Amino acid sequence: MLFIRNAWIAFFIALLPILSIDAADKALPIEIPFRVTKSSHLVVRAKINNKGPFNFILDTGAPVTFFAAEPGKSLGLVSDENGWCILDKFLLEGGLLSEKMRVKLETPFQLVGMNGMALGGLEMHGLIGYDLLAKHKIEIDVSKDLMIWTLLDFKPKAPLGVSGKNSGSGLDALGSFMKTIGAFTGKKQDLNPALRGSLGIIINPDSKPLAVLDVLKDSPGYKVNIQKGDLILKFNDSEVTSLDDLSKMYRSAPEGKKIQLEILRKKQVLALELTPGKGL
Amino acid sequence: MPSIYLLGLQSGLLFLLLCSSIKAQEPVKVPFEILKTGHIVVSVKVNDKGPYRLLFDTGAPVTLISSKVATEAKVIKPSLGFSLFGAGGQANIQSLEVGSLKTQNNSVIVMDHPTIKVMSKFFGPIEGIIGFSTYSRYKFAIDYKESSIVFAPNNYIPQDTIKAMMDRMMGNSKNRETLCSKGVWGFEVQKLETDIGDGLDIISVAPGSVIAKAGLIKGDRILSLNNIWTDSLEDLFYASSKSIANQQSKLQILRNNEIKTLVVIPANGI
Repeated sequence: MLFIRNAWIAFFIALLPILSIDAADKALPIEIPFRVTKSSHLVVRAKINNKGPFNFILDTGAPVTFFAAEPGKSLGLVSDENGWCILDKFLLEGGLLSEKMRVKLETPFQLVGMNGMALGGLEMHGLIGYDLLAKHKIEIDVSKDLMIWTLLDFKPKAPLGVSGKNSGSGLDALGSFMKTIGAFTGKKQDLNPALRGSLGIIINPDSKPLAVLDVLKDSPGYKVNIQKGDLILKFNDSEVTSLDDLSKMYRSAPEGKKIQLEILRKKQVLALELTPGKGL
Repeated sequence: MPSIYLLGLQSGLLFLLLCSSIKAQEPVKVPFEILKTGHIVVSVKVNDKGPYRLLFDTGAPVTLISSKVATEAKVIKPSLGFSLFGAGGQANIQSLEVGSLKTQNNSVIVMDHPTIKVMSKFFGPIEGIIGFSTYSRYKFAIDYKESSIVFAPNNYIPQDTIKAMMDRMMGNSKNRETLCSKGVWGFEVQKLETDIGDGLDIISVAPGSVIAKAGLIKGDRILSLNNIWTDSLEDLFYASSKSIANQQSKLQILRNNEIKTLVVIPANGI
């Protein structure tokens, strides 16, 4: 009897994963990259009808998804008399596709203000609100770079508008006020970042001083003849204590300037000058 | 009899609450109310006063409480002058309790937000917003079907958003950022100005590099790195700056009209 009971339990337990795989067939978790802006907003990117990417703020405080009027116009989108527009394809970075998605084609005053003052550091194109969020279970950890969305077997109720367009009661005016101030003070979004490629020097992280393991062909390190077995003593006149340390120094070295490396090779100290590369 | 029963139940609940605040590292499930507008409302105690109904708003950079709550929970002195929208400015809340989850030392804004006032008219009193300055300190999972949020501490320390914003408005923001790869990969890309398609062209692959070993070849097109679209050089450098040397990264490439996934471990080095 005991055997039968155990066998039955074992069978039952063994069946479980199969069931859950079946159920998960429809709803695999999707990892969606996001960024935290300087204004502490969570931003995800989306391509609309294969164009973009556009920046959207993840906003449980927005009842619906908004796509700003200007980028909407540039895609040739037209809204109905209530401001709604159906997007053929709304693809979130990471691979979450919504087809025939309904959005409000207008620029909420919060975005007008934020973009006007360049508060986020990057241009915002819309808000992702309740209507899309509620269909998913969403796991967010701000200390990570990916959030996890899993489609739920759930049809959220259509949200109710509070009092039409002017529920901001005065805040909408603040939005355009901030835009005006922004224009006066010449606020712009962040400059494009500087891109720093690698030097092509592969290093043994456990060695002290740091030892070169390999140098990639045609890399900046290769061009100044850095060799396997070389020891790295100094970076821009600062002593190098660890690979972490060296990586940080390389990342924060001033833009447009050459890199000075002091190297020990066969009891000889060499001073080398390198230009950061374009490749990774 | 019923009252004794209730009392017993209450002290039982109180005991449960105490237990869960002791086990602060355990994930905590907090139920929420969903308004007809789709907004999430959670019940929050401020310095042991309340509970008050607050919106849970991922789009709000800071946590906000009404001047009424600020006064009742002795967050600020009632005599303090209110300016913009009845704002008492920045304040600190010793304890903020959402369900059985207790957060110490919360930086908040005291403000009678006009939108919240409008919402209160329709859905009963709402006394503020839980924003980034609070929720970012937790890993959380929102489940609208279950009407619950599960929180677990993540040791993240949020920036002082208000200060950062003031600095930005006053023009004290820092120089332009540098995006630098983590680890050494061994490939180079280009994007021609006339090229408006997804991805970037791989124009060289260093022989013997980790990326060559992973199977990347010249002429491939890189579509994404660790799920981040790589339509521009900036995207690619951003994605590689978020990767970790000596840990697996995932590349999506296009070769002969076929999408392939390559796994690569960027080498230690610079």
